[in-house]
Amino acid sequence: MPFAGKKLYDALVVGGGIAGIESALNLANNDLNVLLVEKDLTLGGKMIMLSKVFPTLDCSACITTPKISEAARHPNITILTNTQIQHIDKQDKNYFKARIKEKARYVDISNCTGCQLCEEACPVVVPDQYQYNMVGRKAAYIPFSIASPRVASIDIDNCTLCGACEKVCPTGCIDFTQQDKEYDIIAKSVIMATGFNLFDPLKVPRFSYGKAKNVITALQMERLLAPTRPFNHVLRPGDGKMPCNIAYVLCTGSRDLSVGNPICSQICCMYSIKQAQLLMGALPMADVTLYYINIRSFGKGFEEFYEQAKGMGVNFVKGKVGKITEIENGDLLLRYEDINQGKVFEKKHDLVVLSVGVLANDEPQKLIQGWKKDEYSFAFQKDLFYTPSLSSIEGVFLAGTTSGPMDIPDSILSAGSAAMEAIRYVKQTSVDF
Amino acid sequence: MEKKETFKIKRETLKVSEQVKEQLKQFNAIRRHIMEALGDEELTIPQIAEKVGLSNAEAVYYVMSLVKFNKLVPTHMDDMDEFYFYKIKK
Repeated sequence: MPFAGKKLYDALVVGGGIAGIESALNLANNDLNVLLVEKDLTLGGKMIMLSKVFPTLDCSACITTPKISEAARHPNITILTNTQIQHIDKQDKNYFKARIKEKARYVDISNCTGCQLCEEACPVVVPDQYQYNMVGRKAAYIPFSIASPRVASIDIDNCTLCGACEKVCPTGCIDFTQQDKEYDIIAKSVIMATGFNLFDPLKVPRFSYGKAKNVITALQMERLLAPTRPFNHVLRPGDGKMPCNIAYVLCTGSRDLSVGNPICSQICCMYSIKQAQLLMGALPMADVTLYYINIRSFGKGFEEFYEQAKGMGVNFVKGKVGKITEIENGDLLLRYEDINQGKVFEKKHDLVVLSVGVLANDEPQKLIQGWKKDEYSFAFQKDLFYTPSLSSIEGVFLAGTTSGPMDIPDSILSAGSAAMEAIRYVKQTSVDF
Repeated sequence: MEKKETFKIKRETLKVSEQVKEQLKQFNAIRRHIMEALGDEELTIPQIAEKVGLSNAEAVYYVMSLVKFNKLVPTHMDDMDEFYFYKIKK
């Protein structure tokens, strides 16, 4: 539903990942008017970038896209993408005033058919952030084939203003006169679904990430495994070779006081096991080894999933990796302590995947006064056991990984809980505008 | 002004950076070298890298971008099942 200058909403949902979308749908299905704001060009957050989900190995996009379509078509949901919340102020009478900034796309999205002729015509090629810079994209581009909305956008910072896109556009929807727009809106409640950040492995120089081209993150591997992958197969970014001996280093940047993140990320063990299983399918001749401290397979079906990986031939080494060194031909030497044997070993692999941890997104505290954090910088939960969706601010509710690391099913449950709390709050609070 | 020339209006307020112009020149030059290196041949990424004077990692980026933009296509794997060959898409 287009924005159309509407100013009053029952709920403002900040973040268009799976938790934000789920919250918005729950609210809208209970006759609340929702404004869903996403800072990126497309809805779907991190989930839409994944290949499959654990432990069922269902296609991730096949779960995300129907929910996105439902939200996009819902009469009670207004969606703004490429839009940032500037600040949210709680007003006297239990409502919130938010200043939002809709950034110019230089494309009239109501007329764009997603034909990609502009993309073909554009001469500029820059690293594609949606493929973790492993391949290029144009300056006039659609983020990826299942983006929502599936419309073009102009990367004005890298555009040469040659006009090629505008000349070939059959609907005339490219408009370089567009400017950023700022609005104020009023909402009776706010749901924070701002998600999480991933640990930056550059902070651990001994793992050679960024220096050795065949050391990648698990999110890069997700892209290599996804149907919308950057390469024609699972190949090493360092030389295009098909890897045959792949290592995973679990707990990269989590459970590690030396990098300031002592907590478990809750998802790294299982996504690594998932990827190992997918790699065994994609590269039947490959050896896959997981170096772990503890395997935490705590959820429903997780232990069976772990056992299944072992049965498929995935090697599990209880070991702490100390150093990764690039050797000849782009291969990598892992120096690790085998915890069971109490000895240090070295082993050669041709691709290393760092299973990076989950960190708090500090965006919410910049948006609203009175936001409290827990000791790990995730949202403070007023009552963790009875009402985990309540934040430190009355009328602001927590969905998904805003409050801590969790997997996709838990994020969806959390989003439902936040929506129910918001519905109760809005129905009980009489607001006179 | 007719609708299909709004880029000219933008030019009045936004100067294209030298870095962007340089990147475009560089990509076009490397693309030309890769296409010349391939000609009618089929080459692996390390072979392309050697012919064009790129590092292997740079060659992966450029070749995969050209595959994405339908300029090149992968064909078959080498005898060791390590590297794909790429050729120009006709």
